[in-house]
Amino acid sequence: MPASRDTTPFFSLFFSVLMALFLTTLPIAKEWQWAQPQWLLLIVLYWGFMLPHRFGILSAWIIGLLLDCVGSGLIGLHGLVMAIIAQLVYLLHIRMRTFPAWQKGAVIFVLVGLYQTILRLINSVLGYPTPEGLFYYLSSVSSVLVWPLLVWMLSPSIKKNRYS
Amino acid sequence: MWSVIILSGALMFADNQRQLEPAHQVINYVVTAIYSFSHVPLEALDWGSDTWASHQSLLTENQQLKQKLLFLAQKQLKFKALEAENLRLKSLLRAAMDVRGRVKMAEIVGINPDPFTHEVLLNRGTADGIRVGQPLLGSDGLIGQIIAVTSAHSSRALLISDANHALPVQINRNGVRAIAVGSGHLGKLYLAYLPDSADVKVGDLLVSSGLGGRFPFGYPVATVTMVKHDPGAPFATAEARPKALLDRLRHVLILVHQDVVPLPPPGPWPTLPPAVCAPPPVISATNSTATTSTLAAPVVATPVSATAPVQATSSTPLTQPSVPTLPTKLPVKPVVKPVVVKPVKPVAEVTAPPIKNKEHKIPYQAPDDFSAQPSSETSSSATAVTGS
Repeated sequence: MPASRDTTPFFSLFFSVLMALFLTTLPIAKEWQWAQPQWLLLIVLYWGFMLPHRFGILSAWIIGLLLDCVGSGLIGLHGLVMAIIAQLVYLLHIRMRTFPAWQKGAVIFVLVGLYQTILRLINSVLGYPTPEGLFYYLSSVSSVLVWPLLVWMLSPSIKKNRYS
Repeated sequence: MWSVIILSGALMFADNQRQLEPAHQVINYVVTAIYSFSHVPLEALDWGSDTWASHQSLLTENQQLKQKLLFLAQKQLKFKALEAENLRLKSLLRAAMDVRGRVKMAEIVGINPDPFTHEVLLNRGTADGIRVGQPLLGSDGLIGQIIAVTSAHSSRALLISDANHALPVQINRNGVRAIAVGSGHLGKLYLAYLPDSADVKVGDLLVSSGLGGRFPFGYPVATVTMVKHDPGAPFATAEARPKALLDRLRHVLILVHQDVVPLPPPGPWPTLPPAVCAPPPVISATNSTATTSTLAAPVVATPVSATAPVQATSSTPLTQPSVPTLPTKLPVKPVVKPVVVKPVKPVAEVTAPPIKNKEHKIPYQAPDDFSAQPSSETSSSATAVTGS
């Protein structure tokens, strides 16, 4: 039973996904792509934590498919990993509300890192070269760094009628 | 949750088995729209920097471009001569065809966000005659090839550094063939199946060998950076660095149409198409004795240089072009000597500064290596003539 009913317009969800897609496809030099935040995953995390009853595994899976289409890997790969992360987000979302800011950051870092690790694992199984060293996880770090910005930009769009 | 996992698994399997091709067509259309949308800020930035660039910087750029143009035009003069000579030598050797291409300029409008793949989106499509498999060239060397034409004005290209890309190359110095396989890193290619005894050295230039029929022959691809001989391994390991700066590209050339130009049948001094052998204006200064001396060059030089087996099999065509037929085709010849020997050096020194600058490198390195041969031939022929 949800503690509150949200009336966040569908438009803001849609628009945020569109913006994240835009940021993802921004032409950046190949070497800098390793440091690019995982914009779409962050969107999935944000809405997953904030509106867990509207934004679940299926939405995450669809966004993952979108990412697959934009990229050139196997269709369904990012969808699968996004869905796994969304499941974890659903399990964590209540606990997350009680966390202090730094702990929230740590959770975000772990989730993005896990997403990247699973992707890397599947990619290596499929025969793509796996990057050496830890710089692959630069993306997790940058994702955590832009998280406050994301919260600041998206939180005004959340509308909730509290009745409990 | 499980249904989603199973569904994605099924999708991935189907995609891996190439069952989703129709879906890819639709996806490509949508994705092209997304990419063109995300390309807008870059275009705006370009427009802004062009519009509000300072007068001084524009003047400087103009000056640099003019210098570069002069330098390239001068290079072009030499290439014309070399091309004519090359064509003639090929016809002597009964080489059947020569491939020349028409190029289309394209702009890179998108880069695949997946860091595992090296793929770019170009703003040329079916409307421009782009088809899957056409090679991509940059000013420094080969870049990649078209792998999908997504709409009338867009296509996807795979770069040579992608882990799924391989192209046949050969070493410019000695012609040893190899396969340059992408590594997934921008600055690195591997040479696959390189015999341990192969003559490969660090610094060797790799050019496309034209085998496989997808890439044209003779475009620079990479420079060998590392060769390792491991007694335990079946092959030597070698790494090369692509000549083209794959991560700094904005504009590329697509080899749209590979014209296969049949050469005239081998015989005494075949006439060449006017475009190839049109003599540059410089030549009017030369006299007829010089032209006859260069005429003798191929006949004298080819048996000496490296064509011993060819000579054994087809000695008749080599000896066929005898002296009596020469005077009729005289206009072809003068190209070689005067251009190579006289005006090149001073001009090259005058316009040398742009070369040192990394951005104004000479686009096509291979002819520098090639140019050694014709000049030596002309000198040898000159000595031969003076001796006789």
